[in-house]
Amino acid sequence: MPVVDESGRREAPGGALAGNAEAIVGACVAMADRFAAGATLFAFGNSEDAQHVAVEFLHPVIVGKRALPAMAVATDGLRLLAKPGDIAVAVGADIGALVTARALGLMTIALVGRRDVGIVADHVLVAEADDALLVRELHVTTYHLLWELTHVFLEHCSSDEHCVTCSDEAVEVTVVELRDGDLALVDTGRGLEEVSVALVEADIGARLLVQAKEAIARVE
Amino acid sequence: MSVESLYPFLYDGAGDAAAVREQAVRSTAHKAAEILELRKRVLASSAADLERCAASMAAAFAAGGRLFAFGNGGSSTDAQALVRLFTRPHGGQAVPAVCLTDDVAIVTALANDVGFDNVFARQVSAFARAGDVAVGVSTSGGSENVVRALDAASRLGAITVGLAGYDGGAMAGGTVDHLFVVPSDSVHRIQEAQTTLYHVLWTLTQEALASS
Repeated sequence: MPVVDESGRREAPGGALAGNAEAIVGACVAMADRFAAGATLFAFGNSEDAQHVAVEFLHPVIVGKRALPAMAVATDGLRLLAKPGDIAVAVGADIGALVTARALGLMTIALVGRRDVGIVADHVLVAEADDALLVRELHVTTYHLLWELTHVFLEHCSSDEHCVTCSDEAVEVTVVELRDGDLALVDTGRGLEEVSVALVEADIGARLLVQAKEAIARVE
Repeated sequence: MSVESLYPFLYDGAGDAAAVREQAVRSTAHKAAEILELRKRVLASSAADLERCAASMAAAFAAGGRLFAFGNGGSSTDAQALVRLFTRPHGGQAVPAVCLTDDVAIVTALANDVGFDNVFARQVSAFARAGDVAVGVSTSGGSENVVRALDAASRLGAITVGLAGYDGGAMAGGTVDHLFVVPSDSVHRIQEAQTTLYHVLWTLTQEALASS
């Protein structure tokens, strides 16, 4: 098939993605609520896409966005690690893992193709194609949008001020109080936040580099 | 690019939740249209080289060549997906391919002992030979370990294929035989269009293999 036809056969499925906007936004509102309440995201299905979802949330490509807990798992890992209130994202119709996730009380999001439209999940996002390659291309766009919009709603709806030390980008802070459990209250320059100091020597007045709520180095 | 610039409506005094949601829906529909246009544009601009690259790859596989793919982060998942497509196709001919992030022992040993810049180049030097195919994936085109591995593959006489974004970065100034650049400044849109590029490359390679 010439390249021009490869382009042409993507037109209708690609155009139909806009019709999923409401459903995508609905899933993101739910995800933002769960993350705000301390949820972890578990991704499964196509293993490479599950890993991509995990790295997307844990290590955002947009510098300064908060690192959110997310990991790619198999069904066994899900059963052992997940707790009620967590988030399950299936990229592809991984029915076994979705059933497990629902039984565990997770909020479930399923990215599927037209053939698996009948799958059971809280949010079913359907790529309007039958060809597995076209379905996957729309899924990659869909999970990027899920990440982007989750942050939009997380920031908009959160009653907290922006958490400076939650970021994946290292920020410099000053220790103002040491707390039990290897924790410390630190001055970020924009307020006080509690971080872990388990990995560094911390004393009052010490300058620390903090990334994702963890002090990673002393600044001498 | 900041989220503020993507969703300006959230940061100019913020309306009520329903209004935010409505604007998010509009913005999502807009992005869906944007990626479709980008996919079509990059297929049109890359058409001739996609055909040439697929013909070279098919000839390489027919002569016993193997494919090595590599990338970092999201791009490593693209390298994995590409290898899965070539080795376990739904229909079509399976060809030998390896993803250089698959063996965690090798990746962590090289990263720990030699440095992350060499995790792919060292493997390419050990595995690749003339007539093989090396595929490097990088949204910026500038990932040092990807660029070094493509250079190593090129020196060994392998066919080199680069998937990049922005303006092609260091890959554009290098020795890559077939360079596909997605002209966007969004990492997400670049990755999405790159997925289409290697899906089409696989399809064309299969067609070339079938007709040879």
